[in-house]
Amino acid sequence: MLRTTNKKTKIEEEEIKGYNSSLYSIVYANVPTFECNLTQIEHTCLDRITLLDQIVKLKDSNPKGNSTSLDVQFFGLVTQYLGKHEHPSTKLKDELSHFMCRIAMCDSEEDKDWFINAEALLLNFRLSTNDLTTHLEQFTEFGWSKLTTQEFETYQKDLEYLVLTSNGKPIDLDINSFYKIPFEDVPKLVEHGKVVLKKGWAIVFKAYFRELIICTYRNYLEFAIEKVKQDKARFKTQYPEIAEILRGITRPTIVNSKLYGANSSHIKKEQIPELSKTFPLCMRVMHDHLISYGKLMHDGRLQYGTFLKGIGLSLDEALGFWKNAFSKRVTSSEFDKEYAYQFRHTYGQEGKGISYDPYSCEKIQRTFPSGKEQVHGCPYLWDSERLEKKLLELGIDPSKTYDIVEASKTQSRMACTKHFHFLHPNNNNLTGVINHPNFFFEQSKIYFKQIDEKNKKSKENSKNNNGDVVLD
Amino acid sequence: MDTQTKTNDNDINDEDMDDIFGDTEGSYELDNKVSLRVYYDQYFPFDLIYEWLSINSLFGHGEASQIRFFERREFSSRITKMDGTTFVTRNRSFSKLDDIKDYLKGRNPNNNSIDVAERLDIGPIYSCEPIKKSMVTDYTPLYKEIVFDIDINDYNDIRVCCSDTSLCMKCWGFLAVAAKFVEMYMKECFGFEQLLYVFSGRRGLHVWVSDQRALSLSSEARANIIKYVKYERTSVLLPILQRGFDELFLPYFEQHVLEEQDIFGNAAQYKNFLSKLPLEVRVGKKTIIHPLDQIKEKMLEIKDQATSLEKWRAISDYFKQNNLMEYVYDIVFHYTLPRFDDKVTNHIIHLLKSPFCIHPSTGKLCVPIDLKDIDQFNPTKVPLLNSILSTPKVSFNPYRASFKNYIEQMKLKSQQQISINDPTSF
Ligand SMILES: [Zn+2]
Repeated sequence: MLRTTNKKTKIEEEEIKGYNSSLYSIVYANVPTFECNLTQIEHTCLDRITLLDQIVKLKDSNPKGNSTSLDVQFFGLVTQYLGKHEHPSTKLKDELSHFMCRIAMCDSEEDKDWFINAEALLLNFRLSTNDLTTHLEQFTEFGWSKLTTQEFETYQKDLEYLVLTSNGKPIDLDINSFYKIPFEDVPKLVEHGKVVLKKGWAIVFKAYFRELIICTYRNYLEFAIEKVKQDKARFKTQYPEIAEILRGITRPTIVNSKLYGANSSHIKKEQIPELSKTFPLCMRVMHDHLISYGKLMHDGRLQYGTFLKGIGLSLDEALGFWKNAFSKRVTSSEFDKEYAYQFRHTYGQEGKGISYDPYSCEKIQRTFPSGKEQVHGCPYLWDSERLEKKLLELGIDPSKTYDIVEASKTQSRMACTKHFHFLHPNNNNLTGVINHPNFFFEQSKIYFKQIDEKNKKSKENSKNNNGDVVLD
Repeated sequence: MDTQTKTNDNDINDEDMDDIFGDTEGSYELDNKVSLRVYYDQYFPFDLIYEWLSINSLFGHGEASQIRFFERREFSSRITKMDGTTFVTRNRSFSKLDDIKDYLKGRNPNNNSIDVAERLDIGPIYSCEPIKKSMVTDYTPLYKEIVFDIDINDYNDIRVCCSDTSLCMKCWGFLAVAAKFVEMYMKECFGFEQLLYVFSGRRGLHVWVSDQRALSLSSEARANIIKYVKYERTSVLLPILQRGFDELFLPYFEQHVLEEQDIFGNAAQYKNFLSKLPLEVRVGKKTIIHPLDQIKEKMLEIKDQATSLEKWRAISDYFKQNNLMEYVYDIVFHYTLPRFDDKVTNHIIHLLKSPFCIHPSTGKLCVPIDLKDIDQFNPTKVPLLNSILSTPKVSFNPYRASFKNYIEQMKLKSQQQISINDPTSF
């Protein structure tokens, strides 16, 4: 798969023999043969990381979605870091850096999440300017297939339903407007009734091809990187020099969860009830559940516990807080025996001594609560009905609630960001999208600090005014 | 008797209990215990349960793979001791049928008790044998039948024939129509063929789907199967719901629910029914109509001369004429759509009572039901533990035979699937 030479320094057209460009695919489903040198690997990887970082930032600063000007900026970035599209070296550079970065990003969950997320954005941008049907053939490897003419005829009524409910036109009732995919592979579309199910196949209308491609691609990357991880030891022995170079390729840290690991500010347990009113919804839900039922299941304790640690609650304060919250059901000595260990563990005082970082949105969204007792995870992934009920319960007005619920259907973090803006009216500090509950909290803190300062100023002003009046 | 629930497994604390088990009450009188031990000893079809749970082994073909598959299945049971304490034993697994028998009869020294087990619960297949759980680092649930649990008390707001957990032939209809829909849904949408319907012994119906593809579904996929057929107001139904409406739900509603649950005669039922009607609806650009008022008026007009069905038809015609089919769907689905206990389906680790258990509080046998007989099934005439022991020929053998027959069918279907999937078998 990989041949390295130390002589070459630049990628030139005549040097990329052995490279089969017909395998080029925007989802990197096949690993081509690379012939390149170590410096190339390092440079292309660094360029790709920068490119991905820029794309993530571009997206974060324009959370509302795609526009033509965004696409232009995006293509500027791709050309800058990968080269012009038509140029054969672009393909090599693109594929080489992609496959190398898989290896570089496979070790930690955080790196992997960031990489998959950024790569999915890259694909999304690419798809937005391409005719999707030209790409669909690439997905036969993922078990997608076209309908047979017989299926097309037998399922006429079902297909009409799909066209009708996806705002399609009569002309869309065409065999090429549909693909069938194993239903297990399209969970979101099944959940929301956007597909017709037939004998284990989900029949998908073309309106959903794009989000499906993205989703399939993410799953595929997840799977592929897991494989790379398992194979890493062998890779290291086989290509020690490359492994060494890849060790130096790191993810840019912008809002790194580690930032929240140690917090200089100190929060007392008595402040939590008041503070919880402006917590992100996931934490608010867990807090409310904890207070009303006097319990929180294991995953919830971990997610809420590390969050509280991240906002500056010391271990002693935390133990006091949890003991008190559990006191409805558990005596003090039972708490010390059954639960205290976990919290000390979270703070690195037990077990392997690893201090646990607060969970990012990415990580929280991967946890799948089961059962009504479990309230961890991301509430924006709930059924609309349940989410709506909770938001209204928290006193968010119906129109804003509607707004948030609608956003949650496509972009959970956008919904979370909308919730932030509701809790912090006229906020002008947060411009991007929430990607971490502790980021939410820090932003909230900044907001209230600014308000405090404003109030102080206006108080001082009014004092001065009073003085003036006296002088008069 | 003061009943405490304890568990000998540290990993499950009591807060998890309600989630994993269905009903939790019921303890046993001494003479019942004696009978129960005889039942386990002479009747309980361990051999068939073994076949049923392992025919579709995902560890390869043949007897050896079937045994390995069965060995990793979690079983659980509950034992009430003489002092009234209830023990739950979890994470049990067996490699010999005699071992389960001993386990239920209470002779197994690992059982922590010499008492007889009240029931047998079936869990998923794990990555290792559940009894060896503490010896491994990776203990993950891998496979499990898709299960549906429909309890009649979830229909309490729409039934008048019974209350609480009691179940008569009339309200059994709700469960029967649910079963027929599950059959239609599983076959048409997923191609699943191996469905077992079991009366849960008191208030509900269990459905077990054993196809190989069903066994390996993730929790997410299971949850989505339930969500896919949740109805939200719409005038264009999902094809499977449309079929269910035309072939099952509307006929059942019109021919049974209206009369049997006294929708128009019983004041509370009528009030509930009216609460499903919209107060005002916009039709076209400018017109606003008031369905609730108009329908109430119409009902007063035809009050005594019309049958329930005529009244209902007048209402559904009213909506159809105004092009408001969604309100007809609203009503019919409210009264007929299966009310699944979602968590039982969604969670792969959830335990469900085995067929052929004796229900701890009713003494009824949890019998498998053939779908073609489901309308005639009478939950009040199900054999009791005592009648099984006194007249096994009528009270037990036919059920065993029909379960055996189901398993033979399963074997045939599995072989067909193997020959389709495996070209070397030709
Ligand atoms: Zn009844």
